[in-house]
Amino acid sequence: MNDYRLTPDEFQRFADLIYRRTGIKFEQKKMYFVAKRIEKRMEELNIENPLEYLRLIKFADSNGGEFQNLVNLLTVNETHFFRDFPQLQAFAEHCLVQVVENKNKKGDGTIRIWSAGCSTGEEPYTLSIILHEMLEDISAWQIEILATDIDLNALKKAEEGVYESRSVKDVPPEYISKYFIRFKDKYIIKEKVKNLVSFEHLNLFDGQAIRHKKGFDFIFCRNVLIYFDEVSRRKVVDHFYVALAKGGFIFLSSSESLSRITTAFKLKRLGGHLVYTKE
Amino acid sequence: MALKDFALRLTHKDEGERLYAVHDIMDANIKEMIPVLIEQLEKEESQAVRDAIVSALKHMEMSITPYYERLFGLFFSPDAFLRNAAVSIFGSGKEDAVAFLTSKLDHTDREVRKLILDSLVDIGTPEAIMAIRAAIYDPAKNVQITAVEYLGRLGDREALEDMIELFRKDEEPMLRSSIVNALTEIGDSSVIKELLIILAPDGKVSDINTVLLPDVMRMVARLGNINEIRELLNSFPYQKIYARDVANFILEAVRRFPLLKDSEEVMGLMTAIINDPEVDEDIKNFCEELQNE
Repeated sequence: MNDYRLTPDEFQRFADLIYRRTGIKFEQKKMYFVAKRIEKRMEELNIENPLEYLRLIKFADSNGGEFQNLVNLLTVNETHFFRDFPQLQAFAEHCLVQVVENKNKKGDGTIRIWSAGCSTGEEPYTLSIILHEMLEDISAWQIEILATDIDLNALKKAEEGVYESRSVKDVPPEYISKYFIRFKDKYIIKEKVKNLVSFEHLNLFDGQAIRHKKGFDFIFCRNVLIYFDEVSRRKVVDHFYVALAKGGFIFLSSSESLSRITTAFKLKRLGGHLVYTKE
Repeated sequence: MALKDFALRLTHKDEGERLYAVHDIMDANIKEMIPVLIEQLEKEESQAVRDAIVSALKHMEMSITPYYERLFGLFFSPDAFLRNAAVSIFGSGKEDAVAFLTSKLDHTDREVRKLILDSLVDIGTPEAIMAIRAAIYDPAKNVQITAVEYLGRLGDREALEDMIELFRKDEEPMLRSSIVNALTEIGDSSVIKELLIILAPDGKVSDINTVLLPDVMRMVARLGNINEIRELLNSFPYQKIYARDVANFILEAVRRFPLLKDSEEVMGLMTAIINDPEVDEDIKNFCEELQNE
């Protein structure tokens, strides 16, 4: 195996290109992480010089396929079903209830959810399971859970809907039999859960593509914004603001604070949980 | 896209359209749109769009220096958001912003001078620190206090002598309190002696102004040597209103000098706190835990 070793200058050139195209910022301290993934791609393509690989993705990658391969490796897809249970509880027991009540009053039979940065699908399928559990007559609703991610490999896995036991470790046992088919050591998501979810390849930094997303009642974007720098994070959150319907709710991960990015959303306390909403 | 199209989109009735107009102006770095953005910021009703404009004015690659005078006008706005927006936009600037703001430090309105300091502390460059240093002689107390606080936060050791001199000359308790706190951040044990001579010339801790006593305790605990700490512990006149300050003093002193934990002075003060029926339970619990450790 070749030892490519990126220099700090080479790393910076890759980091700048990745930032320009995706908004994802890699600081110098992430050099090892990025270098390992670049090296993996170079090995695959039998390229020995990092600058040669950089030239390839800059100038000879007409359909962006190789850049996408690199991005797939650079985005971390570690997640599981029912991740951050208290937050999902706030969604299920308070936010969803409030939105459903408002919709019933208005005679609006749609619920639209966007799982932005859905990775391998655990989050949108979790939301689908919650809707099945919480809505009295789910067939009476027209539901759309849009699940998007920049990583094509992750999306492919998400669409397959087949998981290892570690992915379902936090799923309440009664839901396992209800919403999964066990096959050997795998857990296959049932069709009724899948049917509510549609997957789409989307770069959150692609302003033009994202501008078409509108009218969502809920947006989940957990553990995604950490990849962006301040300016890109602001822009992405602005897109979410436009995409969210009035009275809708947005969920970031518990460690991310929306109020540090924008003051446009209102912080509300619902049943002991703090949630952000668009008024 | 023509400038007038951008301007039209900025005033479009749809909030999302206005928001995206700001993004597009920012991405295209259109210099001519900067005054239009500032104008829109003043009349915009959507918080999301206002936030986006502030972000654009902070991060546009194009210099906004020619529009500083216009931006400065926001310091006089009755809307706190706009005043804070101007602070944060200037605060994201560098040398040009420092030069402009410094030229305004003799403004007649003390609130404006205070906002200038808010921007300078965000800039935080050596030039900005120099400008803040000059403000410790401002005629308004609130500006002086702000300057002292910011110099402490920025760790400006070059301001040490000026601050001690100011402490000597000005007896206003709030200003003195802010100086003690700033010196606690940037000073060393030598400042303790200088301040104590001013505060208690006869060496009696009881002579220290009661407003300043908690600050002095914090400073001695943080910077003092073991003898200075012991001296204060010995001469400290325990009163229940100081119970929390005493507990914090002991916590810091014992962290720095673990031997002090079993000293008579510390034990005596902790016992006084534990036996005081009017002291809050959490402070008593802390003292009991420390005694039993």
